[in-house]
Amino acid sequence: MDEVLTLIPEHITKEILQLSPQLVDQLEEIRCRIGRPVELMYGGKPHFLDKLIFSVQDARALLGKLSHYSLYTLEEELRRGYVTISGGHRIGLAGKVITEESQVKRIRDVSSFNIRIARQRLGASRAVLEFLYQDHRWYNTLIIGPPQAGKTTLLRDIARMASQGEGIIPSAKVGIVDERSEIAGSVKGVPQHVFGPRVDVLDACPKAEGMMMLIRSMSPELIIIDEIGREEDSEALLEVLNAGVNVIASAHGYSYEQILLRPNMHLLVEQRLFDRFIILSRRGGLRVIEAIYNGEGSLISRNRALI
Amino acid sequence: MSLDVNTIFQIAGIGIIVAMIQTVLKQMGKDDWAQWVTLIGFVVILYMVSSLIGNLFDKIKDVFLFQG
Amino acid sequence: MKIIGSLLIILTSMAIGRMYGKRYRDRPRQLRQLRSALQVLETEITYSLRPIGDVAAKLMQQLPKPINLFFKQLTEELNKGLPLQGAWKEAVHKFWQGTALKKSEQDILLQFGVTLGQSDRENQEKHIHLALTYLEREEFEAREAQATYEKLWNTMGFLAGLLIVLLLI
Repeated sequence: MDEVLTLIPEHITKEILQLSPQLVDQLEEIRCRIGRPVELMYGGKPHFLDKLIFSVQDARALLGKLSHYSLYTLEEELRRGYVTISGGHRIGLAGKVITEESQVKRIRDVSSFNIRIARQRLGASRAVLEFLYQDHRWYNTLIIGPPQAGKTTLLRDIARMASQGEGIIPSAKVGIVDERSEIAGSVKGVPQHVFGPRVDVLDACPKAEGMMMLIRSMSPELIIIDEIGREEDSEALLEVLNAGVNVIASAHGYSYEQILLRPNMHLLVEQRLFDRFIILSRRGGLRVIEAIYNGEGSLISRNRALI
Repeated sequence: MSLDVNTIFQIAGIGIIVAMIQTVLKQMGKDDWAQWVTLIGFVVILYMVSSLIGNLFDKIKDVFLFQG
Repeated sequence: MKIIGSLLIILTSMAIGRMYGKRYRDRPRQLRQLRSALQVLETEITYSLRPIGDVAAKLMQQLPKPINLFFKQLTEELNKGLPLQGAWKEAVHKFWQGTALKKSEQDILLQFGVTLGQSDRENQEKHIHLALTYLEREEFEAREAQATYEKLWNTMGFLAGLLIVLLLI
């Protein structure tokens, strides 16, 4: 969190630190928009620092510190719309975009900053591990949940546990295709979260291509990806599963039934590609593991553990 | 100051050098400095020449007084 | 005795003259160094995409004196925690004293500093080229000045010394 606080203009940091330490610990997002009061997200709800209006100078200073005063180094990030800083925190950017040949070239004037504070919860996956590794192999698993329900947190911890090994589960070679740099939070290719010794990360890499690259180069036993849902993702998944590599992925959704309604996902489920489905939800600010289903769609657990 | 070859050379030398300095200064573009140097040089030479002439007149006076 | 004294005076005067002339010789040389520095800066920025802080540290080691001292000063100012704009200005002002460079190139460098790190690669390159063009013109004029004035000051030194000697004899 310190890495984030040094980036933000001092007068804003001061205000934030005046909140109670527990609140600061629970901070999920800090949103700065030019001409508007600074917004803090914690407990799943927004809170505004009404006295603090984020000015143009503040934006310049933030961007300066973010780029080490060298904006030209952030071309790729300005095109993708986010910067990952050390600690794995992600700073999303929005503003005036310039295009070239109807493709986004980059954001020229940044007016909104969305600082997502990364918190690794070690042990978040403990409650579900026994369901995911059976018969001496990892089950292909799909984690379903609405935004901010903890899908990525869970994926991260599964990756960690899988690579370290836990109890009777041996350590495995884990590959992560981190298309949005959220799972591993890599800076310059180095994951900022704790993972254990057997994890390889492809950062900011498109999923479909990334999975094939990993298989060719890193011979993983388990591949971790997030936010599948596009047609090419499904096609790539088929190939990966055919290659004998197990996959644990996440997808947006509210329930098992709802996922079945989506055409791309429907195919994957129909073909029994996934052996496990974990449903997450958000209840009153807490992240809850609602249920676990097997490949046929039968409920096998409803332990309501928290992440 | 006596009227001897050295003094005459001295005066001549100063004159020449002042002229050269004036030229150099003019080339540098420092015309006003050039004029100052010329003026001062002129004054110095005038002083030296006048003391020479003063000497000369004294000598002439001596000669005349001797005789008279 | 007199001869030694006279020689001393003339030599001292020549030395002083040469000192003044040196400024005219140093300026184009330092301008050339400044231009090379900017060219290296350009390479580091457009090809290696290196952030300014790292480039300054690298140039501090790489470039010859006295131009490397500018980057040394810049690194120091950045380490103090100043943002780039402020650090650049401070570094320029502190560095300028020890050089033969004049106000026009100082303005060019200050102006360039304002644009540094504020734009994407393409535009950054353009700003660097602009600064280089200005500096090239200054260097040309400085060389012309050198051609005239260096010799004049040397001559001046000699003549002044001679004059003093003649006055004193």
